[in-house]
Amino acid sequence: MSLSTALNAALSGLMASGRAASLTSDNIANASTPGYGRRALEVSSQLLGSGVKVNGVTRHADPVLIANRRVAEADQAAASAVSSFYTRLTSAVGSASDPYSIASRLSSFEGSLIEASSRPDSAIRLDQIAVDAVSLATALNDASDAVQEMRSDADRQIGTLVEDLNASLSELQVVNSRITSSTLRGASVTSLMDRRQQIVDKINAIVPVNVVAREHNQIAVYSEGGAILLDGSAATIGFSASNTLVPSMTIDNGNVSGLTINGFSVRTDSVGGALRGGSLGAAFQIRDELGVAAQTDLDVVARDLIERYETPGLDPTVAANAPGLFTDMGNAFDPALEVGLSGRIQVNVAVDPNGDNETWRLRDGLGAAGPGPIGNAAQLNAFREVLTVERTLASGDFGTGTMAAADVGTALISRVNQRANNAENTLTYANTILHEMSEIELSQSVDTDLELQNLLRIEQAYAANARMIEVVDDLMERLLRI
Amino acid sequence: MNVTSFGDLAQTLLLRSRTTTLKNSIKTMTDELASGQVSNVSARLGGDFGYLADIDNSLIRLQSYTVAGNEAGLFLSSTQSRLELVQENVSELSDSLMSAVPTNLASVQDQLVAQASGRLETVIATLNGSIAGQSIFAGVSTDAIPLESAETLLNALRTELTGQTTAADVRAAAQAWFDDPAGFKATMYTGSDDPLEPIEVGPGERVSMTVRADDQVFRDVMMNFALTALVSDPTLALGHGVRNDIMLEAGIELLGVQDNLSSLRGAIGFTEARVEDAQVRNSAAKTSLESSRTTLLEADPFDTAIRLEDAQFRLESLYSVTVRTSQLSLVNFLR
Repeated sequence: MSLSTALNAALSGLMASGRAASLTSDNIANASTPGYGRRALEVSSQLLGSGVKVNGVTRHADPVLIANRRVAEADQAAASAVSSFYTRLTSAVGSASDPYSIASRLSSFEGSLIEASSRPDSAIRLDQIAVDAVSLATALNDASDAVQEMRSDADRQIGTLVEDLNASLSELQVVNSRITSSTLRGASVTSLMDRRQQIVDKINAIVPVNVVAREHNQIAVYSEGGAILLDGSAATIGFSASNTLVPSMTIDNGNVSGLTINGFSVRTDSVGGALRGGSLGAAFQIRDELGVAAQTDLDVVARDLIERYETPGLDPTVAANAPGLFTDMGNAFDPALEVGLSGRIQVNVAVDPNGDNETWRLRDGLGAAGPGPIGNAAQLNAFREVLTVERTLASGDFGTGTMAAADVGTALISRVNQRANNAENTLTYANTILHEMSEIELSQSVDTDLELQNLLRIEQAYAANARMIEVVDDLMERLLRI
Repeated sequence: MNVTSFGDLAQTLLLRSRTTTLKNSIKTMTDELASGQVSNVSARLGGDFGYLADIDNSLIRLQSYTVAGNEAGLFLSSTQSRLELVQENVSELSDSLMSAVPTNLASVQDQLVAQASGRLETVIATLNGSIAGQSIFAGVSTDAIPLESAETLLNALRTELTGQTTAADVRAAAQAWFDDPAGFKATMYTGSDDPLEPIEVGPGERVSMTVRADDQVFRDVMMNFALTALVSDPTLALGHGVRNDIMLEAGIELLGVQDNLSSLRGAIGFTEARVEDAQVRNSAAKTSLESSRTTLLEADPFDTAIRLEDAQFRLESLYSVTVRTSQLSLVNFLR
């Protein structure tokens, strides 16, 4: 009897060593797999009889460390999107040391007015004014187009992210239920849990999530904003993409789509949105907040320019409400149509080199019947002086003080660059935090040295158990020979 | 089993991210060293570009002011030299008249008449002068020649003076014609009534150049010259004594005109000096703004070179550590 118990014990030892060896090889094979939880064998001694009992396989995954890393990852995804928006906006608008920034083009326009007023008879100098004016208007148009393109890209990206999110959520639901059914059957679920962790990581980059453990190894997933993404069944996110965005399409007037969760609309703003905080939230922020604010700032600059040149009495040859040197696509400024003005601002067709090209009108008045005395610099001086007039801006939030034209240009550049700088700092900070959290999480990952040490012990244990069986066999044989 | 271990992936992540950081930092510092300017302008200026944008704006405007100032200076110096020529003619004729008159010799009279006629042509040609394609004395019509020919003037004046017999009458008639807008101005002056606009040669500095060919002082010059040139005209048939009187009075008048010309030239000279001062100020402002700009954005080359070398050394150390740690695996020691 004791011999057979010895044999049983040795056999159980062999089996345990075999299981341990397979786990060790699994670990070593997956040493570089992200999202892999290190496997360990749970053993205990047999309650009845002798030998070792394998209780199961534990998967080492610290939920706190993973949650921290997920928070950092979502923040980093959002910060990265916002920072790229501002980088692109800065290159459209220009920075202070850039000779082609909007502020520099405004200065060049002013400079060419000064030079022409010294030689009003020179057609070349008058042409140069027109060229510089067109360059300024074009810069504003291009910046406005860039902003709307970024908004369109954000809208497109929201569509893609929502699709990915829905796909991931349904996959998560499937894996979740399989884990539960496998647990109830008593089968091993560690690989399924690895897969589930990967899916949740993917969802987290889009929408930061909180994971709550339920019974039988199930999980429920909530977004940071409080929406239920998965609790038994997965939620369905709804969104309809718009093709191309123009400045008049904002979420406030309903021309672009918001989000629905299971058919109910939810908020999408960065403060209280249900799915805020990750790359999806950042895309909404770009489309509905940052992009709209940038467009407003550009429109304020365009408005100031157009209004200055529509000052009554500036050009006596032009009627009271007629368009001035800068126009809204050929028309005078209408305060009701301020949105998107920077995309439409143009130089008056009369002096535009690509229009009538009658640049003598800069000297003689836009509505003059014919060229006047060629040495007359009065109108040119007036055009130049109106840029230095200090006036209050009627819209936007550049401040309530009075500003000259150059100040408005500088305020735009300053604001964009400062925001870009802040966004970059936020991104750097987010990158650092993510790095730290990842490092801490990964310190729990597979250590090949540890696995090899275990392998040495397993080898030894297997050899010892095998020897045990040999000896028992030998003893039994001796017994039978009696 | 609770064994503290350090995962392989953590080690890899650490080495990889440190390598990337160092490489980025080396790249930035190389840029800064090569360009002499700091790469992250935002950080240097604390996000506020107001000062830098103001400097750039001022530099562009100063450039334009310099051009305008140069052109104004050229215009003024040309004006000044022409006025000098006019004054010379005036003083010479005046001297001739004062010394030779009264005379009974026909040849002297003829010589004076010829001189006056010649000098009138010279003065009109001088006042019709232009610089760099701009007429100097034509007001805003800088493409026009302000005065008609001396011939036209003499013909018109001759017509006007026909029938006058005494010196006083002749003089009065001539004065009336010259002052009459329908007389001299309508016949002789083809420039504009509007003077040139003041030119801005510096921030807030304007200089005006408002001398025109139909100003009082030039009219006086031309009247006295023309009268002298017409004294021996057969159509007018002026008496001998009358001729002497006219010429003498012309000579005296021209002395007064000389004073007016001098004060006009003084005013032009003062304007020229102002333009020069403005240019000097602009140039000094430009230099100081450019130097402020450089200081604001400058990346100290010595500091940058030291930091670059340090980063390179750290990267090399990291490489050798990476190699060594990759060899530190239990695998290498198992059989």
